[in-house]
Amino acid sequence: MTDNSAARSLVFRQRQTAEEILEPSPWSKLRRRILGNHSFLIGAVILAAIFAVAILAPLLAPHDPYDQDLTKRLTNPFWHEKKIDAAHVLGTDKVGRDYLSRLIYGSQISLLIGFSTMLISGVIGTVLGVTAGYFGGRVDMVVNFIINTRLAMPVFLVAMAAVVAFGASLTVVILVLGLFLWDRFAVVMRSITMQARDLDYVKAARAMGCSTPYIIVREIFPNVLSSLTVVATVEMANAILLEAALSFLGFGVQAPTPSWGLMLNEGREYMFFSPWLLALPGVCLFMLVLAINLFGDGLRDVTLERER
Amino acid sequence: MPAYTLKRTFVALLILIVVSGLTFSLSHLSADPALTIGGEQASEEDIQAIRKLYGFDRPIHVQYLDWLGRALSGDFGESYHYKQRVFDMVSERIGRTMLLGTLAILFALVVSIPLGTLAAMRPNSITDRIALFIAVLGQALPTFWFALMMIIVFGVWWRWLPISGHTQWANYVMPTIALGYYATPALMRLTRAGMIEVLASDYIRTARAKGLSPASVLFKHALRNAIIPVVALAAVWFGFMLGGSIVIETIFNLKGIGWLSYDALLRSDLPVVQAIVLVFASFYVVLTLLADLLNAYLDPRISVR
Repeated sequence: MTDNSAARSLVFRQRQTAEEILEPSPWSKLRRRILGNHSFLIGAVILAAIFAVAILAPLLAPHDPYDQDLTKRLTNPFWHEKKIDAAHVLGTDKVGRDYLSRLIYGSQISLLIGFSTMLISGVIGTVLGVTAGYFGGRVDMVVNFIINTRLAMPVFLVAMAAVVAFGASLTVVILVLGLFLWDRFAVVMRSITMQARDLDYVKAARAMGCSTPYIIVREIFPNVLSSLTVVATVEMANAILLEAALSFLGFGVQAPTPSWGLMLNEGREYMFFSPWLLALPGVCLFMLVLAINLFGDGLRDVTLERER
Repeated sequence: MPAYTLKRTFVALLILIVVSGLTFSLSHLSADPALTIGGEQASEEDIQAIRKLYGFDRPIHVQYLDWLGRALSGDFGESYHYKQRVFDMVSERIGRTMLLGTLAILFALVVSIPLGTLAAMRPNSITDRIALFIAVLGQALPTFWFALMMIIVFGVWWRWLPISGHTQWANYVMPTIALGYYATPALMRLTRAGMIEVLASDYIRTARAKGLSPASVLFKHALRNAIIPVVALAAVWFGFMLGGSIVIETIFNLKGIGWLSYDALLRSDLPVVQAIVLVFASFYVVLTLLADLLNAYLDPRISVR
């Protein structure tokens, strides 16, 4: 009798272990999905590299990005044969500043703009979207009107007007973009919250008498988190491109800040003889935005547990 | 349906009033237009006189209502800098922007629909991967930088195309590509997703089983249905493109209303900026209103909700 039950429990235990071996742990599943997702990996690696460059800028940059040397104006980068300067690998700009150093410091500006804008617009959009989605009815109607009004405003034109009004500076650009780019956050958060509101365990929490803030923070928010991060990457890329375009037209970050968009503006008059002045900052912008997009696309695939 | 139409139209008008009110106060609260008009040499008395003349000494909401009342009758005031009627300045140039926007969205559709269809025919094949790869690269390319690179290659090195102006058709080639390619990734992905779904449906299987040629199944049966949401998205993109035309028109010196808004902002020419914001906002509002009404017409459940 005892032998029998011991044997049975042994068999039972063995079956359990067999199942455990067949069924990988959630973490190893996640790891496998991440490693199997090339766009996530490539995006993450490039993004990490650009982060490292931005943080280590003072160590990596061969020169001070603000140091002018009028005797060495517009020297060519290393792949040219004439008018090159060994000290300036990627040449110098119109006032003799080292181009490589300016490109390196430019990554700080773009990342700063991208992150701060994303944080501001993320908070505004999430609050609006979750409120509208959770409460519905009149609240939803009002928030929907605010979202539609925002969408009807031509962002670029109004951003330019705001920069003219409040004066062009890094802070103004961040605030203006942050106050404008929350529409996608709001739209996505609203629809996901609407779905999450009717889930059984949220209903259960409501039935148990949990307070509304508790339900929103503890029951709803974990549901919207993965979509939130995906939207955040999209908006970060968007903000970086808009800042570059604003600075390019002279309505953004002001000289002598090494912003990639501003460098494109400054290089424009030399496009005939020194096209690399335009090519290089653009390539940097392209790589950063590409990395963020790949990372975001990959993140969506990884978190949505789509079986490949 | 009539009640729904009325309600949506009312909301659309309300949105336009709020948008114009916000831009009006934004520009008038911060910058002093009297200083702009007077210029640097103006004395304190001149500035005071200008304030009286233009009515800048009145409260902001009175100024706004005054502006709104005139705007409704087509009078957008006079440009501070050019001393011309804003209505004339805008209507003279709006055609170029419309032409550019239309060409750009057509370019995007012509590129994205075949690519999306090709990708959908064999999901996860090499063609599909290449199409998606192009879409990912395209999405990361800054529009204005792409425009500058085209100018260097096609305008300066090879001298194929003119780099500025708006008089010949060739002036529109590069701006069209620069403005249009940015919409292609989104439109292509939607075509691809729609086609994959449609191609898996029962009626396509029936069409194939009937022995119709693959081309007929693909174009006559599948694409026709998959293309509807793509066209709807293209309409929304058309609205965005008018906004994007500011940078592109400025780079190519194509003097439409995008260029005009840039020029006006450089000179703090507020009446012009006001009018153009309203034009862009109206376009977006009208396009979405039409899309909503069309949706409600096609799916009557929407208007009852």
